Amino acid sequence: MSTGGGEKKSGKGGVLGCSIIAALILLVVVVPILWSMWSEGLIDGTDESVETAPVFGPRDAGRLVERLSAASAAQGVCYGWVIESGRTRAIPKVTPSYSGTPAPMPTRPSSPAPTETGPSVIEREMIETELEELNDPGVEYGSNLGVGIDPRQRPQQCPKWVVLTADYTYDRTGQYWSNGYLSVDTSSDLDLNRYNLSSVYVDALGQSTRSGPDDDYDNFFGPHAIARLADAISALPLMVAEEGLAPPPPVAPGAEGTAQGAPPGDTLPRSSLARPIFTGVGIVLIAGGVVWIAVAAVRKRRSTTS
Amino acid sequence: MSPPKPRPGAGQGGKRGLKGPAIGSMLLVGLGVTVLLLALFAGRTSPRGWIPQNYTRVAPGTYQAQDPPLRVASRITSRFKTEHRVYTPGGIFLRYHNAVVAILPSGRGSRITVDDPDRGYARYHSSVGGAWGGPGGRASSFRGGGPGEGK
Repeated sequence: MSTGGGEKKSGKGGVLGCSIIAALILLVVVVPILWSMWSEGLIDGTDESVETAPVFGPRDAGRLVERLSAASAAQGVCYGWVIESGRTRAIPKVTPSYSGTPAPMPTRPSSPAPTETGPSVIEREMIETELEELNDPGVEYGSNLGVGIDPRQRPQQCPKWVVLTADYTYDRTGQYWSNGYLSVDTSSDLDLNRYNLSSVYVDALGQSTRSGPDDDYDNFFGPHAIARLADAISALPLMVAEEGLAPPPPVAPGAEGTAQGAPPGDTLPRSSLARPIFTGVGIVLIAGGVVWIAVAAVRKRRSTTS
Repeated sequence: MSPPKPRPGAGQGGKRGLKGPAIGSMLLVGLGVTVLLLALFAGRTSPRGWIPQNYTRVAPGTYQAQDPPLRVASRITSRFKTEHRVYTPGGIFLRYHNAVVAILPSGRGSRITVDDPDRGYARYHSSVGGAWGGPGGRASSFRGGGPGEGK
């Protein structure tokens, strides 16, 4: 009878131990996964606004225009972007919000002065076709001249231009970009195409879309796709200067070592609590395991000696 | 004299009693070590020590590179994964847990500055403000309302 009681007791201990392990696995593995799914919007249903929300909001669009405008004024090259977001609904045009005045600066005349030759008839036809596609639903575009203005629409103002096109595949079920491809087109006088520009540019940004063990998933359709797309657009003037086709763009403020300072209360996010919490969980798990086996050993020793 | 009766729970029963806790505690310790190692070392990479060994120091915390900014940035990010990064026409900014690395155009090459995170954020606030931090530490720029990012 007492033997049965011991087995019962031992069985109870096993069940308790298994329950503790299951609870800990739930806490350490399942909860973070569910949390990340929720934060990514995967378990909170569909959101209609994602279907029509502009990729760049007013402040982001204004920031892009300002950055490109300053570089364009210094380099005499117009910079633009076209985003084919893969969505089928019309995206409302954003009114950019600028941090200061004036907003877009006029482009400095190219030096030497633009030639009268311009694009050939075939090139002009190709450009016209691409410009017609700007009216397709799901397409957003802008440039140093403003949102909704493609430099190719202003050949007098922009004889030299570089336009980055981001072509995405949109997953309607998951409401995210499942794939993406960048291409860079230039005016014929910049003649950058011989460098197989797009792949060179993508590699230079360290954001290759190639798959493999060293793949950098933080790319144009990854978790920070919009920030990476903004990077690709903003770095166009650096690339043009790198190829020796224009002088370097103005260096960012702060380069001379004088800290500009951020407005009061504007800081980097404080360190996440995740690291100390998970460190604590790890220590508790290890301690729990050690205590468990120690208690079991002491109990066994007592039971064998008594 | 009859031999003593085996005590309930001893012998085979006792062995069985210790086997369960041993397996359980090993699982627990293994899980704990995994969680602890991930918490301590995951994502902790920085070029802070690598940059002085590979570029010419021209001033405290400032280095000169012969390559242009995009190439320098590509070289650094391929070796050291960033926590965040911002590319602008005026320079490239890489954020690590212990440093802000700025790669700025300088003639045909680049100038590289290395700062502590808070100082680097303040120094280059006009370029990275809003993207890395903001009022109350909340970033707001280029986070998107469209399909590119989580809500």
